[in-house]
Amino acid sequence: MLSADFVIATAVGYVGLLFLIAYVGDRRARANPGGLLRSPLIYTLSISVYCTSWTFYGAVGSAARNGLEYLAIYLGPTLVFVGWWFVLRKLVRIAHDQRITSVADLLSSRFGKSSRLAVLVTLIAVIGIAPYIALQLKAVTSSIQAIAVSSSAGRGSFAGVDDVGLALGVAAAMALFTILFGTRNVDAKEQHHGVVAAIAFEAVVKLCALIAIGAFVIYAGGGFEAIFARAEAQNIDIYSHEIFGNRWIAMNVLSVAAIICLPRQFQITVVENSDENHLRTASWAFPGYLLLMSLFTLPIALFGMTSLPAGSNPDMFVLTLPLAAGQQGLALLAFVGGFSSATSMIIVEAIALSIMVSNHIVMPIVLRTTSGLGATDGQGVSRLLLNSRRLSIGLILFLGFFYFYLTRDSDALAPIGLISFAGVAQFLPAIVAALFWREATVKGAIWAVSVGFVIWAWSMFVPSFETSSPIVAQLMAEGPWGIDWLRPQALFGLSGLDPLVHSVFWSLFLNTATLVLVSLLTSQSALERLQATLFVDAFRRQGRSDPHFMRGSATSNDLFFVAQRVLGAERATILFAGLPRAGGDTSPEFIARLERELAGSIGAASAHVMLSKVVSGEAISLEEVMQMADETQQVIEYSQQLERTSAALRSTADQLEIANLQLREVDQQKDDFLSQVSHEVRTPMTAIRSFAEILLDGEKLDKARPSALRRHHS
Amino acid sequence: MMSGRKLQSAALFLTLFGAMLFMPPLVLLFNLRQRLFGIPAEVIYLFVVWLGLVIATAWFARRLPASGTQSPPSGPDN
Repeated sequence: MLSADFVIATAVGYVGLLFLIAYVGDRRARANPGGLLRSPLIYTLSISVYCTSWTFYGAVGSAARNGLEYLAIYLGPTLVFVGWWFVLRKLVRIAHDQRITSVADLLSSRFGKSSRLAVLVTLIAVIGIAPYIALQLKAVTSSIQAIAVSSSAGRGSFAGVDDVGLALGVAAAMALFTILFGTRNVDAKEQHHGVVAAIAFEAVVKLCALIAIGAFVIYAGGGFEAIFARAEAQNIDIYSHEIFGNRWIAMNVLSVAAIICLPRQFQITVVENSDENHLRTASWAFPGYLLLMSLFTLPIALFGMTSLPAGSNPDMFVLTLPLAAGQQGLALLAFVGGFSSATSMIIVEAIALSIMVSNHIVMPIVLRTTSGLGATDGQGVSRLLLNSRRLSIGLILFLGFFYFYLTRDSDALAPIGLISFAGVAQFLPAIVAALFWREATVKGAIWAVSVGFVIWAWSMFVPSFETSSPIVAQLMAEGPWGIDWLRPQALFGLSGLDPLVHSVFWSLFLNTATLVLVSLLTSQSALERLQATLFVDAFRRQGRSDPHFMRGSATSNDLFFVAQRVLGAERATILFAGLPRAGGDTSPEFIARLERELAGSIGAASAHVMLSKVVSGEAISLEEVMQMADETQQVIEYSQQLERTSAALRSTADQLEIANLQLREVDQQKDDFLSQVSHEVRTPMTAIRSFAEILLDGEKLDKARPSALRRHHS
Repeated sequence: MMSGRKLQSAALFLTLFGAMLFMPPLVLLFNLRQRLFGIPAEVIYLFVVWLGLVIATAWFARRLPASGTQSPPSGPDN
């Protein structure tokens, strides 16, 4: 008989297994860099961290409430991977070239290594993800509750603990686990092979669990046809009537944005990618995985609605259906599957966010307050980074728990997840501009993300507290200070729309509009122009001459000092192996390379600040940057010149032809002229000859004529 | 056989038309209140298009040109 105690013990055992996999995975990846752990298969499986307990439990609930609507969450990512060649491939290439460690790092690096943008993006991500983590806590808590309710043993040793206490316990355990997992060392490229191996294992577990439940439901319900027929007979709308409207489109847009912008997806898809060609396999295998995950969702929902007593929570059908049928083993599998999807999400999300917090918020503050590097001793920076990451993991999970606490009365899982999706979707316009629009400026990006965030917070985040806070409820009914057009779900008088569509439309529309307008009205700094070229033309740089961000010089001793603190003595020694140690000056190329290495550990903006403190001389020569930024411009100009030249040649040829024609005409005229002339000349010539002949025959003429003839000739 | 450049445009159009197939109004064509093999027509339609996209993407993934410089697993410095 399943009891709450037993499933919790199972969960702890499962986490222990994960830890073992991560540990072994880490060691094997180090020992054998080309092995299975860096294969396209593992990469694809790890991307499916996209499927959280929202997919495992929430999708069924969503299908029970809104029919096919749950599919939109998987169609968007499918489309992004179908189009991998155009967006994901470019992201991965840039991340490799520039040692990008997170979404915040990507945007900050593209927009002139701006620390302000990085801080902004990090803060928004931390706030935006809190509901998502709350969703996982809620799912795990409810699944333990569902088992406790069905079991004769009741809540076992958790008898006195309510939902909130249970969620707090889950959050604390997850925080501890993630800290043990993800912050053992600072990797040069923020890759965590062990974690990826564990996530890939979890992907297999949740897929098998969900398919097992699906097969059981199909078997118990007597096949697809019988399940749909029974649901129709009970007046359940099985035809997804009026699903394919505004809300369907908005959810597709959100899921497209989420698969690119969610910190954990960025971490797994872009940062943990060790070979661009793995994307090739993932491009079809990941959509295939999503298809399998959502194949049985609708039958499970319909079967649950027809066979379980009215009023059961549809979000827990995956668990309660086998429980109701007395299938204890299957129910345990379902619990483990749901637990596994929650843990994988929390681990990766917390690691990704903690990297952002430590690199973009803690590091810059430390760099600024210690005004140099001498303040800490020993392995200073490295230890500081790890500690700040541990602290931020705790903070992130606490925020998730806090959100859960405030909104504990809301029932459905999916709407909570959509709040987070809409939050991180505010990065999408800036990311697209970063990849494809050379003229986008840092001011444009900062304003756009801020505007999008404010609209999102006002129209979606705040209203989610409606049930728990009377102030918010009043705000939503009347608007702030009674201002009608500022009501969160009817901004600027746009009422009558679905709240999700309303918020997504206003936030993304104003976000993009701000990005475009501000970018057009402001101008880029030299560093921005340089970075813009590196990003937009990521595929055109075949020569790979490393641009020099820093001119001027620094002694290799100073640089070694910096590198040692961030990268650790061992890696620093390897990096400096080819250089003269005795205080010689270093080349700009080497400084650029060092900066990229440091950026891999602490983010581009921090690395830039750190090195500019050591490197003396002007940070960057304007002409040099202009020259490099104009590299492509020159190529374009050259090809335009070629085009112009060939046009000129063509017109010359045309002129030649005309001239040729004229010549031929003139030639003809000459011929005509000559023939005419020769005719005109021939007539008198003939006459003269005839006269001459007459004269030669003169003896025969009479003597009277010669005088007349002579007169004629004179 | 298509050249690399044409393949790339074909992959782009696959993405764009794939997106259109999932969106109204095309998807509404199959929202018929009818069942095929006992399953609502729009469910069959969405999953068939989905499967088709997976297969087509796998086909393209094998044929799209190798992407330029392969980034070695641990960067150029190791």
